[in-house]
Amino acid sequence: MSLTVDEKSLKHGVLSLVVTLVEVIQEALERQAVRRMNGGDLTLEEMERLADALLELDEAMEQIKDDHGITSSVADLHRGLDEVVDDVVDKLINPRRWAEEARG
Amino acid sequence: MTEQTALYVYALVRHRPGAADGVTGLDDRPLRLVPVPGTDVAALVHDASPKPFEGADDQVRRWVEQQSRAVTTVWERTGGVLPMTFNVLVADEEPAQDPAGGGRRAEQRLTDWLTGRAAEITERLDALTGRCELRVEITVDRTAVTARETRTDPRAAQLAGRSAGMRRLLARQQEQDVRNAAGQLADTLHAEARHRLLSVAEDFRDRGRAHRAPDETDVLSAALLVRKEDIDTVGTVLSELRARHPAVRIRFLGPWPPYSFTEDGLGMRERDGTAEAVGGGTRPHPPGV
Repeated sequence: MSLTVDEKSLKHGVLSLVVTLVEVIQEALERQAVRRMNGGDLTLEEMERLADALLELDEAMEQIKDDHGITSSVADLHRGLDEVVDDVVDKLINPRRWAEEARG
Repeated sequence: MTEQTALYVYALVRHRPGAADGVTGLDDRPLRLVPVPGTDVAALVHDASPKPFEGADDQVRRWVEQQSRAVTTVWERTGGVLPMTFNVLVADEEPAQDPAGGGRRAEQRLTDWLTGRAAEITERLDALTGRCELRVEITVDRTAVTARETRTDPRAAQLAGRSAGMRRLLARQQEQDVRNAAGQLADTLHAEARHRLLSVAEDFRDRGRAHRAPDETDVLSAALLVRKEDIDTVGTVLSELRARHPAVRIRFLGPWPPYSFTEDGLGMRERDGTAEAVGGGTRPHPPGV
């Protein structure tokens, strides 16, 4: 069986995935930055450099999303994950549901 | 002989003659009760073709709503109900399948099937009579988590003046504080709400949330089986919770027939709006298989 792949939509899909992954990293960076800020051991200048670098990254990401018409984001990923988590917890509590689904 | 060759089964109820009068189901078909001889049980049905109901999502949603409305009406009239899932069809038997060679009619097959399970069905109906299902969804509204629950960085004003990046990072700091505070509040509330609801409800099942809001943190989402006279008590428990914690948001739905509590025992599944064809409509939902 051969798969027909639309090259344009494949590129768009890969780019959306890359953007989402960068946003995940961005979130981790911001969490760490806030931790360092809360820790109180950064000078004002250091804090400002960190904050401005994160802002630049954010602006660059928004620009890339705009340029390529990407609307999905890490927020969608989180929403999707919430639903997966609910579903898995439900099935772990009620193993009978696995059987029901397997039976189709 | 009639053209119809199957029965669409909505629910099992206590036989109360007249309980289905004027009630309509899928595509406004009139419903009737098929009593099971020698028992107090009846099946709520209408005549149908043996072909499962299939259609676009909107159509299926309309059918499920019609089925749900019919079950609710008869439930209100009879006090107890074991709802069936969507598309439970009992067809006439092929002559070849019947040892007697004649091929039983759908109604005969249904009553034969129910007669064998009458004791179990009666017991389930007894346990559910006078009870209803309530859905409770509790969340924490992060936009209402108060300053008291988060801390303010004393340098905030000074920092905010330095650059747009700094203002953005401060906003992130505030968001994280609120998220953490909401998470902690949710942990505390979950245990408290669960404990208090369990003291009123006879049964409790965790359920996925029907409603998701971007600014809310989940606390608890459950189906409760409660006696009808205890519905107000559940309301009181929830109001008290809300009064103690202003950031709490509560969605309280029902009363409904006890859909989430009829899955066990008879093997009937929760109605979730999904069309489910019972292979050619040969028999009711297989019990416990």
